[in-house]
Amino acid sequence: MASQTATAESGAGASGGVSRREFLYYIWGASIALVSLQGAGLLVWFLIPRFREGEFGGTFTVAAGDVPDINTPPVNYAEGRFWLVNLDSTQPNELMYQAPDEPNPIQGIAAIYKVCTHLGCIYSWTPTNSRFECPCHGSKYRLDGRRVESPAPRTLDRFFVQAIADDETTVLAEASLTDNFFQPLQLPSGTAFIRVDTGNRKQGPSQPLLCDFQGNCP
Amino acid sequence: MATFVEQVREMGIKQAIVTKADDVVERLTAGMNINDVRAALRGDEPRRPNPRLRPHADGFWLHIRPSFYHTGVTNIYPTFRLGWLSTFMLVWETITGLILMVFYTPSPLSAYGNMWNILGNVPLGQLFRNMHRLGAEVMVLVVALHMLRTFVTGSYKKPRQFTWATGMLLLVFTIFLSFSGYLLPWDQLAYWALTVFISGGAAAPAPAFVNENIMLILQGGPALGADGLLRWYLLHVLLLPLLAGIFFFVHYYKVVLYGISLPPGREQVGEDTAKRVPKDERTYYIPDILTSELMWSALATLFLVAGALWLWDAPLETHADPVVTPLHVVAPWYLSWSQGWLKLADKTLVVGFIPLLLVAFIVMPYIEVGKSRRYADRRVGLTVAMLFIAAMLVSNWMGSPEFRVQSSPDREVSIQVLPEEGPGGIKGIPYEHLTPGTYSPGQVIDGNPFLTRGLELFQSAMYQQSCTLTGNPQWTACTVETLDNGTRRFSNFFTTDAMPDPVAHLEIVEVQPNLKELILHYEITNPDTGAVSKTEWTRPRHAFSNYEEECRFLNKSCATD
Repeated sequence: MASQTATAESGAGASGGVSRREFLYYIWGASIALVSLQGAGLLVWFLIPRFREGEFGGTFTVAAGDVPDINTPPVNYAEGRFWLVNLDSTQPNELMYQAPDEPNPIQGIAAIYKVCTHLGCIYSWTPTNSRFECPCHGSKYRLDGRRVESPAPRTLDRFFVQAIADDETTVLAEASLTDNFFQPLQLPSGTAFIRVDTGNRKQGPSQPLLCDFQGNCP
Repeated sequence: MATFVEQVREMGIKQAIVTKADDVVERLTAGMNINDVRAALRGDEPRRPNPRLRPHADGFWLHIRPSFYHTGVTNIYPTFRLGWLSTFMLVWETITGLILMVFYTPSPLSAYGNMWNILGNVPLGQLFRNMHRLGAEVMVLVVALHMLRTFVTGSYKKPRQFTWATGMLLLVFTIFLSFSGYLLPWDQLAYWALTVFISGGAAAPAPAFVNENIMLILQGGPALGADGLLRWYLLHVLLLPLLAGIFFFVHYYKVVLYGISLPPGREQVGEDTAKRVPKDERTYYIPDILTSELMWSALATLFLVAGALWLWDAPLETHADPVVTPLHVVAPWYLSWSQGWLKLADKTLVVGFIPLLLVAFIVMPYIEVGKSRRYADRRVGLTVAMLFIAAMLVSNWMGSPEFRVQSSPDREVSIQVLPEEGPGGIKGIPYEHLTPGTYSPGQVIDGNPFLTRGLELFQSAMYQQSCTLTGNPQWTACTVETLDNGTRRFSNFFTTDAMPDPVAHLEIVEVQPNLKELILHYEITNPDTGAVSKTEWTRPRHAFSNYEEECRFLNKSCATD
């Protein structure tokens, strides 16, 4: 009776305080909204694919004799999705050289992820131009994976590599991390195998374009 | 009511059948008997009460259609029938798509084989695939034009802002429907277009773990594979059609609620008279609009069937290969603008900008609240629209194959003459006509028209990718350009990066019985340094590979014709 009078006094009842029934409806509505939100979150979680870490690769072992010569075209490991390169910027040629902003020589081997850092295409080695070229949007990379021309946002990703002795177990040396990126590995004497761990990939840094130094950016 | 037997007794068999038929027709049409239907078809005035309104009131199919239109909107202008045509295309795609689904399994193991089965084995299979694919492209075009005309006639203005907003969603669904179907043939075109698209989605301006998960959810794994194909298939045949269907009805409900807006000049500024139609301005749905829609359905069907039969074949490339991206992959034409934008700006900027643009379009009618729909009062708005269209056309052009990525000139020749995968060029020559030996481009081989034709192709590809500095009459003249760093770049009419004075030849070697190797050799001397670069390109040709037939199937230019 009292509440009826109150509603009548305040006209439409909008400002007449929240009744117990109205309040419970709001609580009910809020819980439905919350459950829907949780459902949406669960749906996203459900949609994330399940796969073994490093499924496309695991580790790959390459005989030291199969490593390319210094500053020669890379060797393709399609099943592991990497290129194996052998670098030495102190013996510069068309393929590999030291840019003005690179204070230290770049020496050793690296396993470079075959996917372009721009939009996921598979770039390939173009022998005539002595560099990696991506067919999709035209990114170009030097032998070590550093960008020559954009639109790629950064240097090509690299995998973790180890130098293994001929007992196939002893690790003689392994790629070191600088700024969370694998540096080329100089093979110690006695290296018989290279082990590439395609489950351990580090994103390349965003270095300036090499074509800026050469003055031939398109 | 009397039973049929009673009626026969009462009025004789003939009259009873006529009465029964009349009754059945009246039930089927929800209110019009045979005489009413015939009167409508003759164009007579309806009797009173008007039986032609009853199908709208009592029937299911017409209850969403208005019973009459303002005569002012029944001409080609102002609607150009584009909204209706969009709906027609949605139905068309559903029907042709359902038929194609019968012969398709969404698995990388079978999808591409299914395409060949549909093209070569299923009766009318190629026609249905062509109609579905052509329909998809036409639908994108029609929906975009529908949006353009709605803008130009100012029909997005109050009270139709929400109709415009749902229309924007339908445009997005249309593009996604068309694009999601792209992957299903599981060919190279499909695979790499989708890879680029998904990588674009994962370049959103968001934290890294969000982007990583966007990529995983859209790809169904670390790379596009069986799971990814299934996900895009379900999007294409289930989720997107469902969303498009639901929002179509939201959209159309609003169209009926507010009526189709009259040509801007026909009403006073600030008035909306579409729902206040004077008696003498009414065009009734039955029979005028209905028969006109039947005619347009017939015309659209004719155009699509004729196009699919004679004018256009849906493309199909070689089987998807996750480890090789082919040269010259381009976006579908309706997404070319994004390809153009990617050349201008960083990918994160582009990917972040597109949803902002979409939101801007959706809220536009709520911000642009000028009262007048007349062209003379909307000069600024129409100018902005035209500039936007011009910018989109330029972006499209920048993303077109004209500006595709070039590889080195020798690789360009190799890809054209001896593709990495699948048939094309010299690969199409019948095995027995590939006589071992060394040949130069353009050489004429007596008694071997196939090889002669192949060397002709080699010659014309070389012509486009090389230039002469020393007067070699075989090649085009060079344009020489000195770059900032002092090196010279040689180009010709066709390409910016040509081989100066190249020496090239084709070598055919029989490596073992039934297996030959085709090798293209190039020797290019740098005229500045004198350095000689030698490259070669080798592709195998097996006696049993069926390239002659594949050439015809995949519409490749081969040396067989």
